Amino acid sequence: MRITQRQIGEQVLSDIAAAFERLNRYQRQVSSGRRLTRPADDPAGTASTLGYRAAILRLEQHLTNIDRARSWLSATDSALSDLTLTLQRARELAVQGASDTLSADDRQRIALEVRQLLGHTFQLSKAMLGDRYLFSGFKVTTPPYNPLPDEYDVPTPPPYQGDGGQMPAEVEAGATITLNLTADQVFGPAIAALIQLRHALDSGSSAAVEAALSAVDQAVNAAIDGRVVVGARLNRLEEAENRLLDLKLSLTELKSKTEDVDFAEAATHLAMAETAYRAALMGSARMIQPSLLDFLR
Amino acid sequence: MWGTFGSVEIALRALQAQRLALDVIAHNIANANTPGYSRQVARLETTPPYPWPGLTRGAGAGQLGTGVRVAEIDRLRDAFTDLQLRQQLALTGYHTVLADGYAQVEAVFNEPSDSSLNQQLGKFFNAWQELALSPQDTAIRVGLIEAARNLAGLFNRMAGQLKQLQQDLDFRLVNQVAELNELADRIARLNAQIGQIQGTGQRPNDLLDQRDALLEDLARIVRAAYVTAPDGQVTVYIGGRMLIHNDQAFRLTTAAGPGGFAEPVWAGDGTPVLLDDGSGELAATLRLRDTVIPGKLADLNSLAAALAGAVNAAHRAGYGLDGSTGLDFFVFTAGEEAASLAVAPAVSDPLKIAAALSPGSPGDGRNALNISQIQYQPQGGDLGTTTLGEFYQLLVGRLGLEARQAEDQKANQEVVKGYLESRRDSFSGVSLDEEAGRLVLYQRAFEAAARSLSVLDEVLDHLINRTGLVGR
Repeated sequence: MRITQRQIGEQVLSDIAAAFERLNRYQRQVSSGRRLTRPADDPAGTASTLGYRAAILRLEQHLTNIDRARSWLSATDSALSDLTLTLQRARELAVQGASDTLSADDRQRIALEVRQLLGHTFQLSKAMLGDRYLFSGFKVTTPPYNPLPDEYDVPTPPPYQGDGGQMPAEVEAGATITLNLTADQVFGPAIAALIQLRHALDSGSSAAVEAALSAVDQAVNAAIDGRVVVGARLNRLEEAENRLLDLKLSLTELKSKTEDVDFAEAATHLAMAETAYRAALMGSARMIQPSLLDFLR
Repeated sequence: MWGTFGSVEIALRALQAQRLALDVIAHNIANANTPGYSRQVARLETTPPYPWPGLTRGAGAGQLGTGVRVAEIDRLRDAFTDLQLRQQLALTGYHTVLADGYAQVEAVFNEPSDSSLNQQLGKFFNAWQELALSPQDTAIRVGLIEAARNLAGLFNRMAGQLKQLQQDLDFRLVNQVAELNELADRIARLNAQIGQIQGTGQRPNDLLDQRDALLEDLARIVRAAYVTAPDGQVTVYIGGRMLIHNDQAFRLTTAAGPGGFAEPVWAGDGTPVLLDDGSGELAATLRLRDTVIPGKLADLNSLAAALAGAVNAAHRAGYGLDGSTGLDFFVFTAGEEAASLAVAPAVSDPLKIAAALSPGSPGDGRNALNISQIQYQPQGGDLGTTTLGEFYQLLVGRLGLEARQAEDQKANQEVVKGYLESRRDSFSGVSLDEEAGRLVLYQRAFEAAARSLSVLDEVLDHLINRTGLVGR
């Protein structure tokens, strides 16, 4: 084939340009740390990495949801734990009050303490997280009970003012747990039992106190049941959180594998591209230089 | 003419012929780097010998040569390579414009990044999840409206950028038609000059080079057919119709087509130009403007419509903090969903966001949770069995694939084009070594011819000035 200077010139320029472009590409990969800069770099990889990114974003929200749910359930648990202690104290008082040997004064003293416990129970039922009542169902801005005339001397159990709303919280994609317990389930029996006990003590009838004692027992059971439910939910949160953290780790790894540069590989490519570029420059310099004109006298 | 001065004539012709050959070499060297230049060669031939054979001629020493002359200055050009190159230039033009266009569309989608639609869509649904957990919290409601506005705004911006790209391409098309007309005019003018000069029996080598360069520029813009007449004038056809014939250029123009965009038509009668799809910059511009970008816009519209439809349907079923119900969350114009998507003015009051499924329940976030579930649900309709996120991810993946194919084809075309250009340069290009070698060759011949002239001069001097002086 006949070779002309122009041909060599064009070829040399395009070869050098190609070598330089490769060098530039790997240099950019190394300096930016990114392998994927546009969908065309890896179409299938782009579609997958968008999926990973969306999944990570969702997953972070679920982790946030779990934190929120945990504070709610912990607050619920601590209120219920307090309620259980209160009722156990009430039970002790009921056992004392059921004794026939008690004087009227003693009964009055016990009744006074029961009155305090009732007030405390009403306080507990109004437990809040932020500005929300924990035990009013969806009516989070309404206290569950509005005892009349006051929390200590309310004659009969006051009506529950909340509703039966069950608050769902999504902790994994498509999987929810219920957050709240309603006061009518856990505080209702306790309030009724305490009012009954106070009346019984006031009446001085041991039989009435005995009857109230069994009501207190039932209320204790209801409170403990509530705590069991809350404990089970907290466990589920824990498990979901562990799964999510594992998943997040593997998704982040997959995303990084698709989007980020493998530095060892990129550095090798860079070194090779640099060698190729130098070789192209050197070879071209030799090729362009000589001419017959150098040798004609 | 078998006379004394015949030899002088031979030497003179030799001097003239070698000098002309040297001129041609000088022209070659001067144009070694001129784009489109084809090397020229002075073709030397012997002048007719003397005497001509005839009946009256006696038998003697045979015919005697009368010297040399330059028969023709040849232009070395391979017409077949030119034709091939023009077809490949049309393909290269097509794939280059297409690949550049795809790169711009990719820039609109801006994936993968932390501010793209993929992320905004996820953040929008996360905001509903936040609301599901704290439905009574006004700050979270305001945050949700913010996330929804960001998402809608991104849809608007992307649709706007795609439309702007379409406008730019439309503008480019008009420019390309103007460029084509300009080239056609110049080629027609060169055609006329070439025809005249060929008519006189001369070779218009440099004009042919100029025309070939213009034909290559033309070939990039549009795929055409070329027929060269014996008088050297070229006729160029586009879609079976003459663009250039002899000294005439039949110009193109643009007319408003459907969608308000410019369509290339023949200036003569306004009929549309039949363009070969897949070849030429003009066809690539049309493809980007009329197929590629509308396709992406339609996909964005489907996505925006499915999103707004599903969110609105769920939102209408719920109740706001103030008891409002039956409200749409998004508003949009049908057919322009992506460009017009916006948060409904009614729900810009955070109290009206319907997080609850029952009225008067500030702690009820079930509807917000329902709306957040839309992200997991296949949407049907244009989206088929995919969820909103999956549809978008596939859309971007497909865009990447198309862009990748365009890049690959562009790269392949560059290789083919480079090969043909190299073949053309191999045949037509100036080799300085070769010219330098010939330069010496003709220089020596010129020197020898000059020497033979001075020998003849001495011989004649002897004959004229010193002969016949016997006895003087």
